[in-house]
Amino acid sequence: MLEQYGYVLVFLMAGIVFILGAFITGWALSPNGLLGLKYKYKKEVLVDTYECGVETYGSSWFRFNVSFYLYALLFVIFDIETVFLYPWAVSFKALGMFGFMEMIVFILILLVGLAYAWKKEALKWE
Amino acid sequence: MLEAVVFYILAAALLGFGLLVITRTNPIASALSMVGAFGALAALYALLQATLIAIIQILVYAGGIMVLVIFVIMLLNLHEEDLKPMKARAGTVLLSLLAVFGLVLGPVFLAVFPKGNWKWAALTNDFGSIFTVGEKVFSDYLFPFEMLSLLLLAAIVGALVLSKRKL
Amino acid sequence: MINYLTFLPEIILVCTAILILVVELFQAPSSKRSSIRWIAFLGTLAALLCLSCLSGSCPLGCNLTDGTAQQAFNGFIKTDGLALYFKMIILLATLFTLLMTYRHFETHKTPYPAEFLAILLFSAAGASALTSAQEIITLYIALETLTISSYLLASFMKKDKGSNEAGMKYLLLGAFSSALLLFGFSYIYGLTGTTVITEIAKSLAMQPSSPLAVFALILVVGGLAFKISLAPFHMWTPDVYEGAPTPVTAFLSVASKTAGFAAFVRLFWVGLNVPSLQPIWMGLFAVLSAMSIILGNLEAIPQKNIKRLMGYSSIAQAGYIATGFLAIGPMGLTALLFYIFVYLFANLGVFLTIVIVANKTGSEQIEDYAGMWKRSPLIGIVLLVCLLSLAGVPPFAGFSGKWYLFGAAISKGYTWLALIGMTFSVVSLFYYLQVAKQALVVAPKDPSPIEMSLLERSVLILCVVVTVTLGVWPRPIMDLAQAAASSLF
Repeated sequence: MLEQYGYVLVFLMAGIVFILGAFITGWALSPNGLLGLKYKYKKEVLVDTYECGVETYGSSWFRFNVSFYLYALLFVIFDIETVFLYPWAVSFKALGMFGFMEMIVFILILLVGLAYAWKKEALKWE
Repeated sequence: MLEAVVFYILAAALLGFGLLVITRTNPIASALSMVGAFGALAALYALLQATLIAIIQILVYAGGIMVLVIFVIMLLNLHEEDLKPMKARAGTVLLSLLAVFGLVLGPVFLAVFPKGNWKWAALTNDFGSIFTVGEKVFSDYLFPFEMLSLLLLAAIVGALVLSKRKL
Repeated sequence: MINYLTFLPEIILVCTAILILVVELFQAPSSKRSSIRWIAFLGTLAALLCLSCLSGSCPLGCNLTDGTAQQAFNGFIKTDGLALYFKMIILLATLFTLLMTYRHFETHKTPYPAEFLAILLFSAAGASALTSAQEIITLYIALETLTISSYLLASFMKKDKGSNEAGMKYLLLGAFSSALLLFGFSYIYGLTGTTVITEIAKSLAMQPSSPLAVFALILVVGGLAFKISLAPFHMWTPDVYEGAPTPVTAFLSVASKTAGFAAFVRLFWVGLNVPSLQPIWMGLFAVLSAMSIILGNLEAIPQKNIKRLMGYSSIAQAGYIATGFLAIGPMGLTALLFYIFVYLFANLGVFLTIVIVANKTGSEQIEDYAGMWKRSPLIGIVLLVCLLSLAGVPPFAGFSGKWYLFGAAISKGYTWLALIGMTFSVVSLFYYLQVAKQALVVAPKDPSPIEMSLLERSVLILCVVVTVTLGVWPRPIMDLAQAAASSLF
């Protein structure tokens, strides 16, 4: 019963180990890590974004364009459509031709929605 | 036995993440805690053999809905200074939790659940597997399924009308 | 093979809605979109005519069936006489709403008339499908199609604060009630292992009474009572009714409520009608019905806005209809069906005048109805007749409707409820007559006449004629209602 989810657990563990590993490696390679130096950083340097090239300015917290929201909204709706493809695909053989037609109708109706969004320029970047 | 242990771990994680959602000041932190809560919930569904629901929980909620929530947070763009921490939070939270559970849900659940003169309907072995769900949805439950596409179509049109500045 | 006749009206409605969307895509932004109005109107009319073809006794003689109940998907969907009657009410209400929409949007400009009509038709299709559902998942999805479309319709005037408020409140509270309903359904499914309503009844009858079943029952009652705004689940009604565009208010007050009662009849009279649960939900409904009648009527009295007044009035009307619901049996069902028909014409007559008046004066305040009689005699007559019918004054149809409802309730031992109903019908006369007094007695501030199109004039006359005729000669619709009720018993 539970065993079938064993591999999920393995993945979860691997994920956790990976993140912890990144932190530990970072700490180990820094002068104050394994090398044991007691180097004092300036505070500004410590909190600065590590990036080469142009110095960063301002905050990364800025107001996003409202169009993002529309995309997300449309994404959720089509996401739900996609979810139904899973059980359909799994039982496809048992359903036969009729099952195929059912899904075609379902997708065609939603395609009207997509065509609508497209024609009304909801997908166009402003 | 093992299932019980897993259940309690997941339930604790769910409650913990849930508390984090309502106690964090930073909305992004709240949103990410919610992802954690959704994950724990998905695992609980999987524990109940509801594989498809677990997948939907991850795909639609932890994926789609969370993107929506985070976009809304970024749209509003509230800064730390706009988000004044609520005073006496821990006490209030605990008290309200106690009130809700102790006075409302607790008695209801105590009254409803332990009086063992009822039992859940028996399940077949492959209950809730993606294959059985698929077979059911695309045969007997075809009508509500197709109805759902209309619901989604209405939602698309409505969402665009209400949220797009000009069509 | 699937029996498509089972849901032919829904197919017509949905195809019309999709056609509207597609046509809209090929319209120039500046066009007047009159073709879309015609499509919506003809589509709904076609669906309505299709009902008579399905009933097996079409006056035009084009019968698609021999009048037997059509079913599909192992009986998960079954269109019997009862469903056809409910569908007729819903489609008539949709036609009325379309008529109001055309007038309403003359002054309340919306850039999206096509979208409005499409969503309205989706909503009607949801309500219509709900009446045929024999199974709780279909019932739930159909209900959601109806309500989610309604949230959109209520908040459709997005520049208008009232409409936004209405949509927001409706969405939040509606989602909450849907969650309650679904929670209850999940326990029922857990206990019985089936979603088919007749199977649920069989399975529950074999189990001893359990607190869990009662808990599920209470959740379902709460969730559904919200949808038809029975007190104490009525808080959203006045705000939503006031803020939503008037045609939407009219649609909600009739189509939405009708669909809700259809769900009640199917779920409770068939599915939960088992000895262990029946007394409990009967008791709950008796209380809900009494509270709706009392609260709805009392709170309507101080209202100044006519849409808000109609909101409270519709709460009280739901309470009256619920008394018929309590009288399980052919008599109660017939009374319920008859009253809904009467309510349809009286209520929509009033809403049509509200739209026409607001189009001219731009006001929904009762005091601005002063002297309507002088400005348009027809509007004065409609207000008088329809409001008195809602109050239940003889010789109008509302009286015979209430007569049957309370008669059915008394025959099942709910004399106290019938007494409350009668007492508060008298109370309701007070606020209904206040509107009528403004319209008929008070002198007009602005005597300019109110003009309306020939179609509107004839529909208003139809409302008056139906309301008066059914008051003195209820036989034709009673026969129809009896035939519809016989499909359940």
